[in-house]
Amino acid sequence: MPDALFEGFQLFLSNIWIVPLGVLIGMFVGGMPGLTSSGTLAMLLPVLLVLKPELGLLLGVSIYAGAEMGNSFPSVMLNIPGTAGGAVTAFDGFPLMKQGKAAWALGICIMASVVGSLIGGLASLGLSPQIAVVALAFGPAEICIVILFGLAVIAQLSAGGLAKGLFAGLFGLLLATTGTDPTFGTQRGTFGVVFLFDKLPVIAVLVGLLGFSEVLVYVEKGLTRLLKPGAEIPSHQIGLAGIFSGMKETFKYPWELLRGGAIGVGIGAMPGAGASVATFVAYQQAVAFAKPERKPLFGKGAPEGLIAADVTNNAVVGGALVPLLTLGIPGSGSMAVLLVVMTYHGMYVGPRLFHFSGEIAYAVLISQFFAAGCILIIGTVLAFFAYRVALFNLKMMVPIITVFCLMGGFARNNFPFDMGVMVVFGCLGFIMKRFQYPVVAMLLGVILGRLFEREFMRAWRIGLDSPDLFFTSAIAQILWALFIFTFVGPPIIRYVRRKLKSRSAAE
Amino acid sequence: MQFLKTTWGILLVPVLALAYGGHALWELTTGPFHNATIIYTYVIAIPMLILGAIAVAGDLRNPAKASEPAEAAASGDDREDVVKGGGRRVALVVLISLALISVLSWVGYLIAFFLFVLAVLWAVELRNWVAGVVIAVIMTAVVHFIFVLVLGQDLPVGILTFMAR
Repeated sequence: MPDALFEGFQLFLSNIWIVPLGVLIGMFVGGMPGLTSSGTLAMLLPVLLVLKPELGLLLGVSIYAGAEMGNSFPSVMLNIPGTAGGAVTAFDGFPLMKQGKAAWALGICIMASVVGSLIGGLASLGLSPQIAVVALAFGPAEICIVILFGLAVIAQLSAGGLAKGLFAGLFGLLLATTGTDPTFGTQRGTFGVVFLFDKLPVIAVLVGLLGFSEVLVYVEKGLTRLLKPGAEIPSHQIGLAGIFSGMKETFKYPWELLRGGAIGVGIGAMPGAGASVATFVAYQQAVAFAKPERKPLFGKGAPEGLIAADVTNNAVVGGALVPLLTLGIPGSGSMAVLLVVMTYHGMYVGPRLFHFSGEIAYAVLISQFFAAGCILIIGTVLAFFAYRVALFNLKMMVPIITVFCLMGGFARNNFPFDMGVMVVFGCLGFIMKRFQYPVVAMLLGVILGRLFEREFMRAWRIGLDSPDLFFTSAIAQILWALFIFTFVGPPIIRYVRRKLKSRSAAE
Repeated sequence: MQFLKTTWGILLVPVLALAYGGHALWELTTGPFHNATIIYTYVIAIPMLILGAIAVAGDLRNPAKASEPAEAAASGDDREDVVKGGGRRVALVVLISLALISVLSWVGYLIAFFLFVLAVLWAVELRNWVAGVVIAVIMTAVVHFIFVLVLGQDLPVGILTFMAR
């Protein structure tokens, strides 16, 4: 191993120039609503195949890492997540932007992403074999419970109450069944519309529910500026000072960083789960572990929430590399493209990759540390310009944001129909916000619905048409216990606290 | 948005869910669906409908609280510089967006986005037409540069057929 590691380091140094280029492309891709890192890597596949395998893989991983940071820019500035994984960043990032703390928030995003990349790099370099074994223990039933777990906690955060939160989440899961059944191929909920035969365009739904609905809220209010008139922003929260202050703030939450990093690596290593699941779980954990007085701040600009989302987003990259390099199983769409590059060049794919092409595998793993440095520098330069969006005239911003929302809906499939879907879900999101139905819970249902259904069907079929598999494994039982605890735990804790308080008051 | 303050407004989201959930359940009776698909749909739709009913019952007990914007309720974002006529503006922006989508293929993205930006600025009551034209030109150019030139997207050129690649 030391020889391969050293050779890998040399190989990385001779191809180091490709990493900043990849990070820059990735940040651009991640920042554009509708463009995903996996889609871009697929588009760039002819280029990746022409390059030497080590160059192609380094470029691919750098694009992936850059995209996971880049998606924070539109999430914070416009409430339009560039990718599904960036949706959670918007929960606390956009409220901070409205408070005039955009530069500060972007500083937090950048530093959390850097830390996430470093944690992902360290974990994938040092713990690859162990992580792969644990991740493979998560079968379809366990992934389903993890998704339900995330849905339940997001629902509990709903301002309108638990019933509305769960209702919105289940509505999202049901909407996600639109199109062709991923297991049996039958069509449902298409109403005969040919554009829905595949599935509901998720990016259009995402942009509509979060971005366009927010535009409508501000159109209704008729505001001129996002910031309240006369609102004073502390000087350390704007400009470069704000960005650096946000970066420093990140280190005040070491547990959020470590927890998010661990969740990102762990879930990233699970084949098929990806950044969207990981960020929701990390956010939910950040809420669960927050002090009672901090909990109400989540969704209104809590730095812990922003850190949890962004550190996880980038730690997923390191995690996703683990099954790819150790088992030949891609953990995400982007990794699937890299798998194609590996097989095209005749690299051994599977547990013996480190034996046959160890130097390339190590070069890819080492590149994550340099990518973290590139994220820090390139991200800071971009953030310096990006935060100024908060100071623009909002009336002028409305058509600009709407055009990006429309193009975000259009870009994935090139169907004007998808723009219509974006507008419809924007209106739905606007009404849901009015009646305190959490759009985020619905979003989670729509984004993860296909994965949930596919894994549900797999578990059902492996269990020979019975739900046994959901309850028999030890991991599933632990996850169910945690799931139930998310409902009964908070009231019990509140009851115990009240009792203790009244007892101490009586004494 | 007076409509959203009525009982009908409260029922809007649950009724949509009821319609979609009902359709999903009805559809299961019409085609050759696998047993697992049927069970999955029931597992999702039935609890959703029950929870929707609970949510509606709660809202109908206290309609005033139900129609309070969640954002304002949650964050205390009670701004005093809110301008009246919000419902009309929202309806106009939505209608203009739908109009853009319906004519995009016919008119082409250059003309459509230029007119769209001007129309939305009019809808949000920004009456500085010089600024409007400048923003419209810049946005059209941005769409052309990013989505067509850089990303190679095939946007409809419409009547400007000379732009077809």
